[in-house]
Amino acid sequence: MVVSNSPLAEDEEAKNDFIDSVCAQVGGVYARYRAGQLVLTSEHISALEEAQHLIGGNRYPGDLLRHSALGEIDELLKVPAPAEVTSVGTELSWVAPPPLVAPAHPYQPAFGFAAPSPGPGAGRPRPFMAPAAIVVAVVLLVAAGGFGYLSVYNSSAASKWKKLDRAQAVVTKEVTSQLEIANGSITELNGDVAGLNSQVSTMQGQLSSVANQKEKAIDQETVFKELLSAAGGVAEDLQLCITSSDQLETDVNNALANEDVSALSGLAPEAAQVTQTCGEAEQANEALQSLIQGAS
Amino acid sequence: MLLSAAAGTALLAGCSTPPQPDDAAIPVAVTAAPVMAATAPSKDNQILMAARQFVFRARNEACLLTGTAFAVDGTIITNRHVAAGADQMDLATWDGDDFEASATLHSDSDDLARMDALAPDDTEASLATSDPTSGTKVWVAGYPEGDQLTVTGGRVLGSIPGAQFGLAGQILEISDHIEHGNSGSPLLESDGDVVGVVFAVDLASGDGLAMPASTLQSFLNESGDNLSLPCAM
Repeated sequence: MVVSNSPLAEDEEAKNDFIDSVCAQVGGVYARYRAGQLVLTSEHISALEEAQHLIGGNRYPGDLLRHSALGEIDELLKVPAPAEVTSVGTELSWVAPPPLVAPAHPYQPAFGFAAPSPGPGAGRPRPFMAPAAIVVAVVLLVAAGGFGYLSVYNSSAASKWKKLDRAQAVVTKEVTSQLEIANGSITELNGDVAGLNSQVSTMQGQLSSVANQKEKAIDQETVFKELLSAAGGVAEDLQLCITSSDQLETDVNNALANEDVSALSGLAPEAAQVTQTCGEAEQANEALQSLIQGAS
Repeated sequence: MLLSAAAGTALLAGCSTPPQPDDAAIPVAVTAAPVMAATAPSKDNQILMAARQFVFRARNEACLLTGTAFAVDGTIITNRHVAAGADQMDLATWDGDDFEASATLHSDSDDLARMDALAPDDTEASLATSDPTSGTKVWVAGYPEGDQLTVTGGRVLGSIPGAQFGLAGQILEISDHIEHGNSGSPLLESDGDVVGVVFAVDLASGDGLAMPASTLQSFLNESGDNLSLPCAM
């Protein structure tokens, strides 16, 4: 026998003790029957044989307890051994009933089964109790099995969750690491973009400045072209003024040399023309000088 | 036992919350990197970058003056006093790309002129559908003193009759700084739409003067070939 302190081991021990006790008592009843100390009916014998079969078979006390044969055995065990047989028949008649000792360790079955009471008032169990007990036992067994299954499933599911969570944590850590690296790259790229934007802005400013210088140069060129064009006109006007003045001077000198008063007086329109021509040339020259000053 | 069974049933049904792991609590601190670390361009800079696409430097060789022109509604717009006296105008982009424009119409009633040109870029400004009200933030994009393209911000101060300047319709007074060379500059609002055309400075107050978008829209609807104008100098 395996000695253990666990409740299950204790139940097993109690079960074995109970079975041994029942075996001994059944054996005692048989012995007394064979010795003629007991008169047993066919029902008693069938019950004893069935009990023996059960005990010798799977030796499962629950079956014994639930089996109707136990009532028969119990009844036999409660009957004291007769001192002598006073009559033979279908009825028991004990002469000197030997004291039968109740099992030293009555089996206390699980799930609320109580061992049959050996008291005089217990008697045989009612026939309808056994099927009800079986049903209750089956229901409880199914419930216990269900709970056991659920417990195992729960434990398995929790284990799966934990595994998944660990895997997820590893993935998260990896992704976080990659994200931090990516963030660093983005920050670096942002810095590069900002630097490039600054360079682009600077270059655009330089381009605008160069374009402005070019346009200013074109402006100057345009002005100088206009100045040259205007200067040419002024020069022609001045030249015309000079030529007219020279001609007028020649005409005046000739008139004076010839002492031709009428010719001299006839030079008045020419003199007026020269004056006008030179006046216009002077105005053009002043305008030109003004343009030059404005352009410089 | 019942609680355990209930938990088991819930698990079987797949309705329970996954148990909190006790050994996999790895602290995770995810910090998103800023997508753009670079500072956003200022509004002035945004307007400047937009204006580069459709605002041109205008040179009137015949009259030896410069001003500003801009592309809108399939044509080039400047002031009449900028384009007067010239059949051809020399235009240039902000980065020095030169092209020519032919004067097509000078307004009789407003200081506006229209030109046809084959601009290097098809980009043009969009014209606002309504005139700006007082207090509206506006920008002037032009080439003051014939220099580089510049954007100056200001606000619409009010609206006055244009008759005192010999012009039809209402005139916008603006606080933007205006110089010679800004003539013909577009007046832009925050979304880049043209809400007016700058043409002068009130020497008494120093305020800029601009014709509103409605006046420009009316001029764009006009037709004709009134080009016989002398230089405005």
